[in-house]
Amino acid sequence: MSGNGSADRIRFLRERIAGLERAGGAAGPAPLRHHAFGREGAACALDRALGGLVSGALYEAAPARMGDNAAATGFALALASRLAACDEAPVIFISDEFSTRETGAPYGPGLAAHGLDLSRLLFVRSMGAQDLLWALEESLRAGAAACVVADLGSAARGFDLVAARRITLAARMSGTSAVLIHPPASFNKPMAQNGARMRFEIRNARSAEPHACLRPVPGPAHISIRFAKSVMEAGQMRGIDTDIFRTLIWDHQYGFFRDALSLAASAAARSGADRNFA
Amino acid sequence: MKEKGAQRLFCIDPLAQRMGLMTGQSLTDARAIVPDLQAIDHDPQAYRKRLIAIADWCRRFTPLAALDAPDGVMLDITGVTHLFGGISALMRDMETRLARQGITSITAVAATPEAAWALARFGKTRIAPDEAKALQRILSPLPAAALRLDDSTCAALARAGLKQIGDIHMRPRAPIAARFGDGIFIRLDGLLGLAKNPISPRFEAPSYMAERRFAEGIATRAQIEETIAALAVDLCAMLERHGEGAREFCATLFRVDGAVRHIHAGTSRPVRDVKSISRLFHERLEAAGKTRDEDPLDMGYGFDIIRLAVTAADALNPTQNVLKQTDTHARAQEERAARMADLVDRLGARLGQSRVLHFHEGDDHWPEHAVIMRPAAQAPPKAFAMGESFAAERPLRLFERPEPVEAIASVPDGPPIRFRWRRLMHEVNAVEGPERISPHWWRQEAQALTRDYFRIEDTNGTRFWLFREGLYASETARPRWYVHGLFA
Repeated sequence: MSGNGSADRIRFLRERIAGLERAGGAAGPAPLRHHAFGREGAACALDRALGGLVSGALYEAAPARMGDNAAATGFALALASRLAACDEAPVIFISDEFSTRETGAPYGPGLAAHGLDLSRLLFVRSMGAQDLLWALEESLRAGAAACVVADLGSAARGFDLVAARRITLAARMSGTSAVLIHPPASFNKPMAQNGARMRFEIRNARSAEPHACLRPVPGPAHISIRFAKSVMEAGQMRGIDTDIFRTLIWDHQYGFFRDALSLAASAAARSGADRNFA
Repeated sequence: MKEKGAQRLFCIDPLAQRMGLMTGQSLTDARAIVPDLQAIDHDPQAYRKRLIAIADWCRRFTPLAALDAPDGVMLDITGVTHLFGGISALMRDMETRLARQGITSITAVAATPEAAWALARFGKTRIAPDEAKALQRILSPLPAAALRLDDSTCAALARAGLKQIGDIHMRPRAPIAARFGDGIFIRLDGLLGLAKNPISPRFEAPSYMAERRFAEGIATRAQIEETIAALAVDLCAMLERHGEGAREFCATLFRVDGAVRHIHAGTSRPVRDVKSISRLFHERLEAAGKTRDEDPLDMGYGFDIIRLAVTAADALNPTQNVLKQTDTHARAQEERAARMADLVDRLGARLGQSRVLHFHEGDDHWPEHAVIMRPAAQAPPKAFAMGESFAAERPLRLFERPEPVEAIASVPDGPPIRFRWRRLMHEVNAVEGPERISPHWWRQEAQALTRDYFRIEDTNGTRFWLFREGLYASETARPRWYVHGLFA
């Protein structure tokens, strides 16, 4: 690896750049904090493959199809609630007024049921793409929240490499993470390599096995996730399969991800004490 | 102006006056005197708007400017004359500046608003003397109309031989009051300075105010922002002295050609920080012209006065230095709360405060009103226990208007088997429901039908919140189906 010394040279250059950036700005980047996807001691597939979440980074999610929009929102908010879990920091949700008409507006009781604390959630309705990107960057720079979730909608077209760079920098300086929701099927076509740390494609997953005679009850949020991109720290290179979808369950009660069992097994489990309907 | 069927002159310019025209003359008569008379239709609304604009412009001389409809502006210049080099200099300055805007004006100064009004319209002297005897001497020869009474009273007074103010003043009051009403003497006392009637200014005098005047108008946004930052320094010093923080600001920009622009900004908590204030106005100036209810900031030939006023303030205690040393966690929390409040103000300044929201618990069971959103700048978020209020599952995204679907159910009051939404057929895989939600039956005007909500998963795994509107048979014969929201 270091046969030609390129690793050393790159490390040197990285440090140099970091030094320059520190000299330019008033303060250096905020210290990184690590968060796991799953519960402590019960790592899920995301933890095993990606090694967890890091604060002050940019994450991107996109629904695979038109109908997976709510699942992508659910996933983005789940990430936000993981990032905000440890120190009760607020979360900011920005969405565009126009695109919420198409996809539905965030619904308070639903957000609460999803495991978010509404008293720590600031909701921003922007008017137009430019204002959305401005509000996103401003919210990141303020460093007041643990995470800023932005439903890009029509603003995705204006989200170019320059915008991505600005947002990545703002996130790194303040330690506030950004989770962006792209329009459906954004990751099918090749996308510019922006500074996003991880990129997920989201699909709905069935939460109940079809049954021949009786109609099952829908279960908790099942989400299928494909890793479209993940940046690893040096020395952490691992083979990630960027083609397969992994199904996970978002446990809204305790606020963590867990692996979905096969549906037959989970159905068997659910018929027990998990869901009681009187 | 149209009055009693005839078109009459409402207002004339000095040239017309010299040609012998008079206000109130009919247009036909006026045309007979001046055949090529240019008459423009009187537009009362535009006229009033212009007068308001003039009143606002006059606030460059004093903060207390009142509209004196229909045709005047009343200024309280107590204590400001020395800033302009005396009363006559102030009047000259005002008249020339108005003339430059194309407005012919007559100004008069007196101890009471009534006397100033009378002198401006009927008097020869423009500045009333302070001494009571001298004032009386000047006012006595003025016509009774200078009392600002309606036309019929004036005519009645004239018939009684009371043509001048002096005529009324020298006679016993009781018989006149009995015949023409008390109003005359209220006006008369005001006129002679025996009673004080305050003016009602368009804006309250702000408690804190700072301004800069420029010999040449400044016409770039950077300069304006710099000026506002400098003014904020002055204001913050004043606020500090009184232990207060500002909740609302108003920046007033006086353009060289007379246009006045007010820019308001509000904060969610009292502030006394130059940086926050200047950033707030940076966003407001950035947003000017972008939101629907605002005109773009037109620099024109530049602004020659910029004034920053605090229109609402609250107590703000000096920072607690003790706290800083003790608890690092509490300090971090406090700092973050301050940063958040700052962010809320800035977002609100640019996007409008109605777009930066907190969720609050609504006191209504109807799904659309279960949670309400309030501007974050107005009310702090309140912690509320969701588990108790929303035991049932609710969707993550809710459509503003429920979207109608064609659903096929095995029985009229059962869950659907399949449904078509947005032109796509969805096969139902799993169902939970119904959850019955009744409308506000205790309200008279309630028209809504009972809704039966179902949580439905289709074979793709998309989870919908569907409802059937109307109870089968008892409320409606053909219940309709809607998609109301989507679950994660």
